[in-house]
Amino acid sequence: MSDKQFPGEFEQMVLLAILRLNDGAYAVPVREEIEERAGRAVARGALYTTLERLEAKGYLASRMSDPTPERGGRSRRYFEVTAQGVQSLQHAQEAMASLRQGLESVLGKSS
Amino acid sequence: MSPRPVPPRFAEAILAWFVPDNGFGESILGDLREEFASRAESGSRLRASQWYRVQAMQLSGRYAARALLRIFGRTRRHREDPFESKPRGETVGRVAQDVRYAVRTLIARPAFALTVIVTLALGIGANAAIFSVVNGVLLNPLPYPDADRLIGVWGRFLPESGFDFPRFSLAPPEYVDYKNDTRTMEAVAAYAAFGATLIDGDGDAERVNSASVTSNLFSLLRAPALVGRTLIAEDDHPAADPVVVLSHPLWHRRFGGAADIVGRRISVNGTRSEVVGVMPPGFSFPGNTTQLWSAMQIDETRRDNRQSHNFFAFGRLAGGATLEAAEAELEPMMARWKADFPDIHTGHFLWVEPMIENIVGTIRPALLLLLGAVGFVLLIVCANVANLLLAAGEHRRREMAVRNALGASRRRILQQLLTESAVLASIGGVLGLALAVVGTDAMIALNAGGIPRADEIGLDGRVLAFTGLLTVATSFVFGIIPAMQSASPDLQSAFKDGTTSATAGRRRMRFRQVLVVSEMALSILLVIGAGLMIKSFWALQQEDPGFQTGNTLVATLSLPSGDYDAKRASRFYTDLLEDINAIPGVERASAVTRLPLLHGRGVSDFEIEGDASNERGEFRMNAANVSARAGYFETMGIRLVRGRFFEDTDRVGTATVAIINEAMARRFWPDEDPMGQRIRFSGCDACPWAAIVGIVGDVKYQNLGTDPFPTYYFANAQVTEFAAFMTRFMALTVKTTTEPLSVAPALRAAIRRLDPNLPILALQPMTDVMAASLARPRFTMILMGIFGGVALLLGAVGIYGVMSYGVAHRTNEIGLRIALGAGSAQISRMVLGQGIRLALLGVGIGIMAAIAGTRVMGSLLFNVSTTDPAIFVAVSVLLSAIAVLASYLPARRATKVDPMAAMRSD
Repeated sequence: MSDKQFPGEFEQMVLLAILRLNDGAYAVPVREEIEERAGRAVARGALYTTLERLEAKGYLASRMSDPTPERGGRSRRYFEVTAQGVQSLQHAQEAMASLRQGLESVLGKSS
Repeated sequence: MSPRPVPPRFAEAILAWFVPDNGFGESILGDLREEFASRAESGSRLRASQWYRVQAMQLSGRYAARALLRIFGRTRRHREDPFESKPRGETVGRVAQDVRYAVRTLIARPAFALTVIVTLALGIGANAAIFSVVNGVLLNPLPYPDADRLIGVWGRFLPESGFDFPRFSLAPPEYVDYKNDTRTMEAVAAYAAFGATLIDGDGDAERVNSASVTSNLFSLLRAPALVGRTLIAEDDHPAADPVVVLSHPLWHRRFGGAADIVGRRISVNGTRSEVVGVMPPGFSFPGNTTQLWSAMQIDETRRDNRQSHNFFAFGRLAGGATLEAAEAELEPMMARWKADFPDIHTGHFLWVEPMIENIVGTIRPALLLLLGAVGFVLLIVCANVANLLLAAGEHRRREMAVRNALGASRRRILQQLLTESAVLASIGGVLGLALAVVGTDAMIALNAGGIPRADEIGLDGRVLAFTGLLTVATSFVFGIIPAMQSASPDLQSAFKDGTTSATAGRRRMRFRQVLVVSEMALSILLVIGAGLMIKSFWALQQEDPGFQTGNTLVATLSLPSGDYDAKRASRFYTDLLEDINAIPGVERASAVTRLPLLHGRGVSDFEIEGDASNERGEFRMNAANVSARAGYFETMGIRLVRGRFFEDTDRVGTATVAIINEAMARRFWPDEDPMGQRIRFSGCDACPWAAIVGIVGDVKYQNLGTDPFPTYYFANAQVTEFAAFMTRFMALTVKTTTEPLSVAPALRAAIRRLDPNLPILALQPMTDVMAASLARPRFTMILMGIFGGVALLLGAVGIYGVMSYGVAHRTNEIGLRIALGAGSAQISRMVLGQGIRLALLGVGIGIMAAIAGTRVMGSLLFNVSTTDPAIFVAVSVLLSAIAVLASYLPARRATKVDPMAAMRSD
């Protein structure tokens, strides 16, 4: 069922950012990565809800770090993209690519 | 090393409430703290704090909204949000389960539930009642299609004109010029109210409120006739046959709804007029008792009567035009009028406003004040109910702890508790609505005709929506914090068989103290408001009206002009007074053209013999004119200052005389003796000069709160010669030796004997006239008094509740103190002291709020400052005393603590 439903644009960005960040992906750098790469401001609230949602869909898995004093004794939540998440991302990107086919003259070369 | 920067604690605490209470919430708090720390270290600490607050607010808002959606089930969203991927049925079932559980819980504690529900019902009911009045009177449009485009056209006299009338009627040429020149109005209609005496049809002769109107009035109001037609342009012609349109009620009441009414000729004030149509039920204009309309026949070619202001006008904005455009258009028009008629239009011009303003404008401040006051009452109610819930929550801490231990999340418990609040509020709201229906009727009855549009007040969709919204809002306001506190049970201490841990208890106590201080402050504000109204009303009653009301019966008669010319009218009153004077129990009877407080004042210009200032036009001389029979001043107990009253010898054939009041003497003869001076109506060369033979005390004709206007009296038996308009409409003033109403039947009979077709109006003791003139201030005063009283009561209950709780909470401590040798005086001083501290804090805040808040009452107060020191001091002392009293009982209980028992129980 989930392969019929593509992740949304922002969801894809979040998934991609987490993939790029490797092991160090928790909300703060994820947000920075998206802002930097996509050049758009990201509301924290939107990011947190999306992270929650992606995890609930099974596209993300998370683990809590040990609490640190600079975080007021609170843990970080590190995310990684699950196989299912990678797969859905692939589906979405392929669908986009196939839709782009033949439109290079209009859209320019795909990166 | 500098200490680690800490984000704003309050913001963080709020955010902690709203984020999900799983690892996710924790990571959010941690992330924000981390970012805050890096911002604080690299930049301004203050900036970082500000940044943190903004983030915390945004995230809290987001999660709060999500929580609300979850509780009140927008199920479509649930499916999108897999975090809440429970099927719809389960959500509904959960809510139903909560409601059932809430009802069971409340039934198990009937006293608590009843107290809360009754308090809420009173608060919500009072608000709904006041709102339904505000809604019916101020918010609903007038009952005509597109009524918001109806614009009243008024005259205004500024003091530079010699007059000071902010809202005045129009003269025929003013109306004609405006009507012809305006480009913003679709059309302009004129109307004037009059009383019509009817003798045809069923029943006795009757006087009905009527209006003479221009024919376009009906099309302007978009009101077609039900039977026959309304007026048409031909009826406006000065030479046209007199025609009338009847109201639906009049048609049914007097003419049995006869199908052949159209075409019938009926006598209106003695003139045969043809009935051309009947209006549909519900139509009335300008007053809601207007029953008959006749054509106002304005001679548009006459240009010489620019100063006889005798009717009102309104227009309908043309398509696309706005009120602002209508105002802008007037400016050049008025400049032109001023240039053309400088002696008339200097300081005198036309202005426009939405038509509804004239009808409701005067009561708006009072209603808005009451709406504000009743809103504060509801806040106090909420504070009190929150207090009760907190107290109840203490008893349920174990229950919550058990639920929590069995796996209920904080959110689940919160939801359950909020459901309880919602159930309480809903029952309170429904009862409140019922109370509102009763209360609205009571309010209308209380004001006895003083509220405009009273018949349009009632329950409608807007009132229902308002009450519903109020109920929901109320349940949140009083429910959320107690629920939050109960939902985060301090597990360990709750399971221990004792009181709560010191810190948690202190936090809860602190919140309740805040509630009580707010309650006290709001109570002070309301009681001061009530106090000011009461003092103002008292001051009004202390005002000397200039006449006496005891043992005086009054009635108004209006002789139809078709049957009575001036001479015949004069003879009628002479004969009638003679008959009335012969009635046993009558000490003396007289008559006057204007009754104080009932007929207002009529102002006209006059001139003084030999005084050049009038011709020079230096200042206009105008004063109220009254015409009285011999004995008027005596029957009304009006004071004679100098000279004499009117006597029976002042009649046609003897020297024309006048009496003036002190205000007139002061104003026009400041340095001379007015006695013997002669005056007459201005611009009436045929009028005889009337010599001033007496000066009388000032009488308040307008209302008790308005300073007496300069007034001159003509001897009524003499005015047939020069002022026929002062002969037909008269009020009888009858001084009795017995209860005034006991004379009424004989008075009626005397009038019937002379003219069986004459309706008798406003037959009542003068004390009733006085009471009616105070109806509106009394209305405001009584309601403010009720709100103040309720505020006082609730404030006292609040203080008592918190102090009792405090004592119960500190039983161990108090027991220990007693065991260690504290005397009962010391113990009660300690408890009392705490209560008084809270009370004084509330009083202080309340007084500051009152200084700022009572300013809105300015226009409603008479001879009382909005910061009247006596009221402020008295109310502060009163509320402090009540607070002491409310703390005294718990304090006494504290001294009765048995130290052994108290310490054993821990």
